[in-house]
Amino acid sequence: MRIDASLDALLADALTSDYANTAPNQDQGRFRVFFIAGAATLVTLVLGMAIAQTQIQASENSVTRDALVERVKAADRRVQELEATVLTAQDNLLNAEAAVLAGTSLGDQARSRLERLRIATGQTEVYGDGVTVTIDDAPTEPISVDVSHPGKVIDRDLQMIVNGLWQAGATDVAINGRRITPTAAIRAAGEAILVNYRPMSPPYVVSAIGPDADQLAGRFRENPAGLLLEELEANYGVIWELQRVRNITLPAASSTSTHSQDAP
Amino acid sequence: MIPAIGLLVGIILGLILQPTVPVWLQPYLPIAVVAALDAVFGAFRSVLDGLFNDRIFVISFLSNVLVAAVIVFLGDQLGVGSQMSTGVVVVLTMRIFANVAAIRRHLLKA
Repeated sequence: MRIDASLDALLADALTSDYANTAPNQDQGRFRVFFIAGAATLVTLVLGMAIAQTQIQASENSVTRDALVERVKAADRRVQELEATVLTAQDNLLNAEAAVLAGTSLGDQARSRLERLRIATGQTEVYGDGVTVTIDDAPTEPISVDVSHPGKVIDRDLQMIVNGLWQAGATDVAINGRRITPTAAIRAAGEAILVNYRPMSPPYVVSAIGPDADQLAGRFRENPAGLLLEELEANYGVIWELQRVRNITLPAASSTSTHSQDAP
Repeated sequence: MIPAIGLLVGIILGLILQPTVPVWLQPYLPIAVVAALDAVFGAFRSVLDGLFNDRIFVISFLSNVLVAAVIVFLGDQLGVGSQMSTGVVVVLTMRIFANVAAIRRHLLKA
């Protein structure tokens, strides 16, 4: 250790011993010993306090964290229950509609028109042959705590994939089992990707149904989204896979808000 | 011997009693710890040098803690508190290294 030697010139003053220019105590009475002991106790008391304080802080932090995690989970469960309620209500609505519209020719016309619109806006469950694109973050070394992780899948990648699938001829798309409607938003919020305001976690499975699954897969590979995926894999180690699947079911969108906003 | 017991008693008291540190004092605790370590190593070195003086032990500890706290407090007021703490910790740590080096030369002759 040459720290003292190399920085002596710079820090000679700061590093001199406090005792350098003074004489030692002459009287070595009993009282003196206890005085020193008391002073030593005081000095290390600070150390003990600091250690205890850090431990208290850590336990408080973990309690707070657990409470927050519990609240998030409770809210998540509630959202799931409400979504189930929405789906049942939509079913009831469909049945009631069918009952009202059945019989008359005008009703049949309205029904077929509604049917077309519902499929187009993702409000019905659909099933058929299609493809799935699975994409996952590049594996990281656990040692690296680098914040900017280039191999992480971001919202723009998912947007490209979804748009690429539409472009390749898909009629219905879902991410991790959540239907993408024409008004769905894929956004980033901090570290997470939100699809329709619901956080998604990797791996992301983008499922798409199209009239011709083979053609869909082929076109997807060749359009900008497929090329982007190959580039991501080559440059950043992102893991992805394109698979043809038979008879997949995509759920109906649970959020069917139809509000529009006028430009101010 | 008795002072060494004092050192141990201090740590154990701090750990067992867990005295609550007021929130406004908490930023200065790490600095006080480093100053305390510096005082302990400096005292040990001076004992080996045959220069130990209890008055200096107490006064140097208290004044180091005080000066360090004032520097950090001023830094906090000026918005550079963390940099100031870093500076204080660096200087005190270097003193600890210097003291430990002296102790090592005494004990191990190396």
